[in-house]
Amino acid sequence: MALARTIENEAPVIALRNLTVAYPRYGGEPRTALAGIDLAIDAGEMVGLVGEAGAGKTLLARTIMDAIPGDGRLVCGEMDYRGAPISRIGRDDSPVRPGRDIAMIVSNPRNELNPVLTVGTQITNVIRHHLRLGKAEARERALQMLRAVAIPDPERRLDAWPHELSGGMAQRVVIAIALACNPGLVISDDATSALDVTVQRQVLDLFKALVEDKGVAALLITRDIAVTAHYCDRIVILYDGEVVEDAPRKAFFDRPHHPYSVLLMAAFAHSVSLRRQWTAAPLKTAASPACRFAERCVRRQPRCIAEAPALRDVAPGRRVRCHFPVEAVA
Amino acid sequence: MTLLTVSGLVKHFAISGSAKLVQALNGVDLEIARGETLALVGESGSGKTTVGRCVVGLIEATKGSIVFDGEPMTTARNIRHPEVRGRIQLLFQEPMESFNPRETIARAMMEPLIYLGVSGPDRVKRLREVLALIGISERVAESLPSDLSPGLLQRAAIGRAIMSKPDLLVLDEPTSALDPTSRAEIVDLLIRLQAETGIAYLFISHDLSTVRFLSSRITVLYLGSVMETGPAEEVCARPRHPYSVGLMASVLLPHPSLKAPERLKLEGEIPSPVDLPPGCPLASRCPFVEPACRTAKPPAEYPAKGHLVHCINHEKVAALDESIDQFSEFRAISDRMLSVGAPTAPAWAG
Repeated sequence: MALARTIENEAPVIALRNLTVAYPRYGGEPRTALAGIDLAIDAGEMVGLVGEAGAGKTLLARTIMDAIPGDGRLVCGEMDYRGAPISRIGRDDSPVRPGRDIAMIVSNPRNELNPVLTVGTQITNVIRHHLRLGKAEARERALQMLRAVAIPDPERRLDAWPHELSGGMAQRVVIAIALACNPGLVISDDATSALDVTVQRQVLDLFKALVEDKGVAALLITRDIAVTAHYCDRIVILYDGEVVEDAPRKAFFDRPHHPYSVLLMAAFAHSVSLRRQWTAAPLKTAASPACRFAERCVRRQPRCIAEAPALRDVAPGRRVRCHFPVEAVA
Repeated sequence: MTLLTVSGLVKHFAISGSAKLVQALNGVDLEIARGETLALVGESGSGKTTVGRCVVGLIEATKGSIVFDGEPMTTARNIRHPEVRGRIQLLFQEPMESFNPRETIARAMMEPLIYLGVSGPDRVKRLREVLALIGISERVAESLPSDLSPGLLQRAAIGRAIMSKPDLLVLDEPTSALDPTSRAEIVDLLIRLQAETGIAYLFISHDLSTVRFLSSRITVLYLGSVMETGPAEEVCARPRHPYSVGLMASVLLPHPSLKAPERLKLEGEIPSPVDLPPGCPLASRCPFVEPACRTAKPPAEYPAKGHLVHCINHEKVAALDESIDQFSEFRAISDRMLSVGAPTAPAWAG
């Protein structure tokens, strides 16, 4: 929303439809790790994807990058990049290249950087490979990028080794590499969780400014709902491979509709009694309920065990997957 | 009644192949009363973990004294002394790494009692008591660590730490490896345990929101020196040290309207603790820095009873305070939000 769509009806940068990834299970049905993900991100929009460990956040990012880990496979689903369907972005004949059009930043920036190459070499390698620039031009562009990510003394840092950088500086370099080829989409996979609070704020402020400035679409993956409250335009909640709620930031934080979203908020609350109210007693039935969240849900009813809820529209730009959402009550 | 007094704690680590020293702690003072929670906050590299490790006796301090329950800890009266053994326990950050993967939870929990000379039947009896206290069934306790979620395993780790009925539990970032919902459960458990057993906590964390909720007093550490110590609500709502102000301003609370006011911005990052210059350790990042800050360490000043600050400009810092207590404001917002739609009857159980 930060940068309104410049042209009416312009296609979103990335659109995922019914993306489903499954892992085979020995002697059983395959496990659906991502179940029918529908998600679109516009240029200049920052979407926060929130979920717990094992919800499928990283898997979603890796699926977009065509790098599904392990023996998981894409069962069905389509992806559009700027309105054009793409089958697999890594394929040679695909016009969309990972690293150039879709870039990713991961946590622990020091592992991300090659310890035996200087910072400058690593940035220019990416630029030269993707943009086919000459050495001098690539170096000039790398310098611009280091300036853009507010690294002090960029000329000298170009020849620095990764071990000479602090955690925050290393993460800035990784951001510089990600944005060097003007990607359409940047995915940040928990990129700031390893940083200290003061540095986390600096890096997030910088990332947000760059996303708005360049009109990049951004997917900010985190388990910390507090980060999304201050930096994202839209919040998407993932639970066990399903999108359970998708809402604009303000509407979401004024009134989260899905019981899981409320539980996530309750986890931050400073009140033990209110927190207990939102924590469910275990379910006694042996059969696995149709709604994936039913086991932990305080609002569950017999219907939730029998019938899986669909992700339905409840307001413009707002979707919830729940039979009994928490409605606004005066 | 004071349980633990740490004064002038200094810890230097030698760097191999160099005459330089890592100055991890440079004169830390703190005090914990029986049954209270003191939080130790600061960025990574500030020396929080080193303090915890010195207190439990995992490493020996270079200088300074630690007085536990009225008696100083010395080489003779150390953590293994019969009077002290089992009375100070430590909880680690990563539950997955602090359990033996080949040993059941129950066995791991009973192990500390072996070294205290508790008989087999008494060990089992105590195990049952503790399992009831932490809310883990005996069936779950018979499983291996790999069968448990990190949150449940951390719960078991807390159980193991309290098996010997310690007076003091040192918690080193106990929740930072966990998901928010598991973190909330662990925090609730810690609060309940303290109410029921009167155990004191030294809570080491960089998660200021949890710290504000859990602790009675906060000590802010920076590069191995105490910057500020005071009651939790005072330090959070009216911090007197520029570093505390910067730290509070970078806290992100989960509501868009709760953007901390940028009263003060700390530039850059924490410098290396090797060969620290004399004077205030914050001098390189502080917007209030004066020549005097760079020559000598600021003395302790007491702006209020029980509130200590090491800053010569603490009055200026207090003056820029708009006294916006974002934590109280957040509490009001979340209480309002969570009380809507909360079920009045327990969830349908099937």
